[in-house]
Amino acid sequence: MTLFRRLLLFTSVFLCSTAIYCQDKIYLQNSIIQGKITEITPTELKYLPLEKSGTALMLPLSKALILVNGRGMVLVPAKEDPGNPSMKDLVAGFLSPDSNHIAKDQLFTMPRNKVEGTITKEDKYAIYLSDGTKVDKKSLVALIYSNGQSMIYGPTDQAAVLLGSFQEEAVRAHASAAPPVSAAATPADISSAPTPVTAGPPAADTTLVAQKAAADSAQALTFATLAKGVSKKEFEEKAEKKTTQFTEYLKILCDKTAGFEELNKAIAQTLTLFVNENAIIETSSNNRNNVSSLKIRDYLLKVKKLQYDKIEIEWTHVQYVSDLKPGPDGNFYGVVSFEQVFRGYRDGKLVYSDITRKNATVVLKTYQKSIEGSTTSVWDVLLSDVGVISTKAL
Amino acid sequence: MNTLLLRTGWLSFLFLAFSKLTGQVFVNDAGAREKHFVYEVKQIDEFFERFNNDSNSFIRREYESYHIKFNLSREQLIKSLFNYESHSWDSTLINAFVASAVNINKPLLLDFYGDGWFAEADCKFEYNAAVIEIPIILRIEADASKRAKWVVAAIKPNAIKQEATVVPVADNGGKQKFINPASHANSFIELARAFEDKAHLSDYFDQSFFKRTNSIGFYNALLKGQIRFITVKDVKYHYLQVGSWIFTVENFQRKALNSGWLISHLKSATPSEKNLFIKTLLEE
Repeated sequence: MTLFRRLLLFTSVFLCSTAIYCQDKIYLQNSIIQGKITEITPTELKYLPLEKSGTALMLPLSKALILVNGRGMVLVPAKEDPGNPSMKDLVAGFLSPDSNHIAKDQLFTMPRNKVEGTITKEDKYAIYLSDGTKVDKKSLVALIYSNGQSMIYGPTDQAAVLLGSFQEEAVRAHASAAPPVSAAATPADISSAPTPVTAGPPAADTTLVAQKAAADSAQALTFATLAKGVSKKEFEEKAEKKTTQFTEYLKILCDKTAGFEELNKAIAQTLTLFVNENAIIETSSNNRNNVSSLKIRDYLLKVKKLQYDKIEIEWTHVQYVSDLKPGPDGNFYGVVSFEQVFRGYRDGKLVYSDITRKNATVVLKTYQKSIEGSTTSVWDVLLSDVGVISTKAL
Repeated sequence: MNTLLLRTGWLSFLFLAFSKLTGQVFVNDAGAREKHFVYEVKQIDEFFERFNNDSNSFIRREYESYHIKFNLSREQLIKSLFNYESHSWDSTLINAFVASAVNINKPLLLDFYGDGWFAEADCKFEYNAAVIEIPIILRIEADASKRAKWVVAAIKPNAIKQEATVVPVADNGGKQKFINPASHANSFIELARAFEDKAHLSDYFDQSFFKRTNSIGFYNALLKGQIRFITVKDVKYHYLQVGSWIFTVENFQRKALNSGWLISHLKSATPSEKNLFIKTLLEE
């Protein structure tokens, strides 16, 4: 190989590795875009894709769950408030080519924790740091290397919630800190208060940042901190599953071909979906104006006695699930709003139908479970009160 | 629901918001029902997320799920939170309110866990063989970790005979029972359990409750079983959290897209006017 070719090869390898190391990563729900992020507006993100360098592309900011720049700085756009001066500084630092690399490798784990250090070894099961720390890969959510490379483990939206909570912490810390005096651009990772590129915000704006951070912190505490890593999506899926199961058991209770034992089993299984037997179920009808309330067991016994040969319960596929709210008992409370179309048949004929808006209270409980000798934190969603908001004729 | 339907919905949404259209847009087919469900402000929580223009709001996610760019501004979202179907608004007032809310230097944001907002639950009770209505004022009480609960803060004037025999239980930090922080979404259905729980009755009340007018007679009557809670008839919310404004939010169940939890009253208020409003609301 001639010297020229050797030099060319060396240069290519160098350029290639530099290119890889300097690429920013845009983590979408199910894919990753590599390139250079050039601009972040409140609604959009502009970038030069790796595979089509020179062609600037645009992406709705709502699609980008996590951004990691080539220097290892992380930005969670969902937690970005364009009116927040601290966030503006964070975005400016993220985009600034003058920012330094993060100083250490960063490992984000569940339950919510961040470990910093120098990774010395990695195997199939764990990552080992120079100070002897061993991080189990099962608990790993995100790994940001000091050279700017990054890995997200598990669902991206779940990682975004966790990383977003650290980002908010940084913003809060920044807001509550003394007015910054430095105008220099320095590295701003998500675990420390970002140093603004421009002069620090005036005192009045700092108060606003704190005000907004206080509002946002409720969400962060709800999902990332207090619920120990349960993402809203996971919660919603489980809550919807439980409400669907409830409906399926109701259908069994109305099935006139079901035997005595099967009916009792359906009642017992329904009760396991609920937080306790004090849960109240509201019922309504087109034929009366008022809404009645029954405790869950009484409600099920009433359903069992309904004089229909068959019922159909059809769901609209959209449901609204409120944010979880931590209660004084350590559980989390939310409400699922949904609509149900009910049809009751007798002798093969439709004798009653309505469409009812319901609100089901759901409780997320976390508890410790011993599995094969080790204690693991697990969670479940249980149903509680189910209210009727409105009932209309079909 | 198809994309066109959602786009049509958005047009109607804007139209309703800005033209005060009185329109019956609901028809009985699944698509129309779903459209209505998307646009209705279904829970007070959704009112919060639309008012604050949360990045993870339901309506945003619905747009995304249909691959429609969500380009509604916060100003547009807040304007859509007014009841236009059964109220005539002074557009100058709404514009001033929205402008102050979206002020980039000092945006106004609602905080579920913060002070300065109250629920007013109009409750039905059985008392002396008759059904009486008593408005109950509740507020959110949250600790530093945002662990929250609803507490009964005050009782509006009512027909219950006042007897000064109650011995209010001092708050020694040992409260065990509570009204869960999501109870509002089911019109405080949980009050039925709370008011039956005589052993822990004081747990459900605000510490200041016993100092307020109308409290003693009501509490005694509950404790002695002289009144029986039947149901919550209506709920409305009073907000004094943002800027120099007081507004009330009520639930409007109707076929129009401009439905659900919407602002029914709005007025600008000085700090002293706000204090007076709170004192009146809490019967102090």
